[in-house]
Amino acid sequence: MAEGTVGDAPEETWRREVHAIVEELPFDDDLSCFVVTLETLAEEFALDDEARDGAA
Amino acid sequence: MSAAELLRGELWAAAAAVRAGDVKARELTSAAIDALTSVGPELNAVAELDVERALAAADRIDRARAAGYDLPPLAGVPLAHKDMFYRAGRVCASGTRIRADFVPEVTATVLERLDAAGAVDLGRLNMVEFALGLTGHNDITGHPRNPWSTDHITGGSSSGPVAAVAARLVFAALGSDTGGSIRVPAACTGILGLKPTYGRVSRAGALPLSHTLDHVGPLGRSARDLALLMEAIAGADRRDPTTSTAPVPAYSRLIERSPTGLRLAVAAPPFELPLDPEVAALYDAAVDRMKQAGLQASELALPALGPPNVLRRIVMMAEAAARHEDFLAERRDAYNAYTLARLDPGFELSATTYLRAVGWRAEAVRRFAGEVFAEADVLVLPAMAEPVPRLDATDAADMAGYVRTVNALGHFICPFNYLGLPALTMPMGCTANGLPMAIQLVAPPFGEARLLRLAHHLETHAGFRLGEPPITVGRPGNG
Repeated sequence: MAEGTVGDAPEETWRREVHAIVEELPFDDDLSCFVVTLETLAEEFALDDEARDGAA
Repeated sequence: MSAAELLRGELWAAAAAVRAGDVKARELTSAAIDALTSVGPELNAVAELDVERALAAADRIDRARAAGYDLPPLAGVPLAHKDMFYRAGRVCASGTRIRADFVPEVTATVLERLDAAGAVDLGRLNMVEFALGLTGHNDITGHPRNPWSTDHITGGSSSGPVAAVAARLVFAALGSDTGGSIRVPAACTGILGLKPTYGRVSRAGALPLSHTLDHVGPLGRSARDLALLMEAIAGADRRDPTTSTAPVPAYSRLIERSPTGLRLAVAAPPFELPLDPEVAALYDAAVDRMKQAGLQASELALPALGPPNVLRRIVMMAEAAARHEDFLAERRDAYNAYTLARLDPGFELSATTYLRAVGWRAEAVRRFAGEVFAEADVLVLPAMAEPVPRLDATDAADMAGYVRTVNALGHFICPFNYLGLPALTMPMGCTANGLPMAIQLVAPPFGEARLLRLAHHLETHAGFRLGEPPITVGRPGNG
C-alpha cells in the first residue's frame, strides 16, 4: 500500500490514491440510515447464546 | 486493602469495595487526586482537575451508603476523561488555544450516564488538539508521556487518558475514536480500548470532528472494567439521532460465558502493509496462545484495507474541514502547525468525491461482513505494524517520516471507523524496546459483548495482560 492512505500523505500521492479509489467506486445512493444497515447485519450475524441474554 | 492499593487494581474491584463499605468513596477519590497531582505532571496527563465537584460527589455516595441506599454500579469510582466531553459550566478546552475559555451550556450524555451510575468525575485529561492526530503530539499543552517510557509516544488523540489509566492514576477514562484515537493509544500504553459500533454510544455533547466517523468509547485495564463502563454509557439517546434503539446487553454478565465455541478468523500474512518482524513474531505467538487456551482459530486472507482507509480519510478530511472553516477564518494563527497541515487538504476535496466516499459506506460494510463473518464470529488481526515509536522519530516537522509512522500505527485500525464495526485492542506482550504491543479483535455490528467475552478469556486464560509500567503511582520513586 502506498503511503498516505491513513495519514498525511504528500499531496501528489494522496491525489492519485483518491482518484484511483473513487473513480472505481459506483455511486451508491442508498438513502437508508447507516445504523439501520448495521442493525440488519447484527441480526444476520447474531449468535444464539447472545440473543438469549436479556438487556442490562 | 487501602484506597491507594485499590487504585492500582481494577475498577470493578474498587466499586465492589465501596458497595461493601470496605473503602469510602472519599478515600478512593482522594487517592486518585493525590495520584493525578503527584505523578500526573510527570506524564503531562492532566488538563485540569475538578477537585471540589469530585469530593462533593464522593461524599454524596458515602452519605447514601450510610443511609442504607442501594448504590449504583460505579458508585464512588473516580474517573477522568479526555478534555472533549462537555460538562455544563466547566471549561472544555480540547487541547487547543481556540477553546481555552469555552464553557459549554450542556453536559455530554455519556457524562450524565456515568454520573447516574455513581462514577466520580475528577476532571479533564490532555489530548491532541481537536482530537486530530494519531501520535499524541500537542505543542500547545505539551505531549503527554508514555508511562512505559517517556521517550516514546502515547499515541493519540486520547493521549492523556491512556497515560493516566496505564499509570494507575485513575481506573478508566472515556476517549473518542475517529481514526484509531482510542485503540492506538491504548495499544501504545498496554491497556484496553474499545471502539463500539457506530450508533452504540451517544456522541451528544462530545466535541465533534467528523460526524460520520466519530465514536465514543472506554479505555481501561481489564475487559470486565470496559464491560461495566459500556453498560453505563451505551444505548439510545434522543440527543444523538444516530444512536441505535437496540437493547444494551448485560456485558458484565456475558463476559463470564466461555468463548471456546466462538470461531476466530485470524488474519494471515501477506498483509498489504508488512509487519515488523518483531511484531509479526508476537502476533504469531499470540495466536498460538489463543489456540492453547481452547479457542477455534482458522486463517483468513484479510479483505483489502487500502480502500476503506482512503475512503475514511476522504470523509474525515471533508467533514473536519467544514467543521473548522469558521475557526480557521478567525483564528488560523492559534492552531498547531500540524493540525493545519491535516485540515487544509480537506478544502481541496470536491463535493462529489466526498459524497461518493460516504455513500459507499453501507455497501462496504455489507461486503466486508459477508467476507469475514460468514464463517467466523470474531476477526483477529494486528493492531499496529511496528513497535511503538519514539517521540523524536514522529516529529511532524519530518513529514515523510511522520506519514510512514502514522500508516504503521493506523493501517489495521482505521478501516473500522469507516465500516462502523466494533473493535477492541488489548496487550499481547512487549517488544524489545520495552513498550507494549497489542492485538485487535473485531466483531459484527453490535458484537461488543462478544469482544469483551473473548478479551476476558484471553486475560484470564492466555496471558494477554501486562504488569505495571515503570511509571506507576505507588511504585518506588513514583509518588
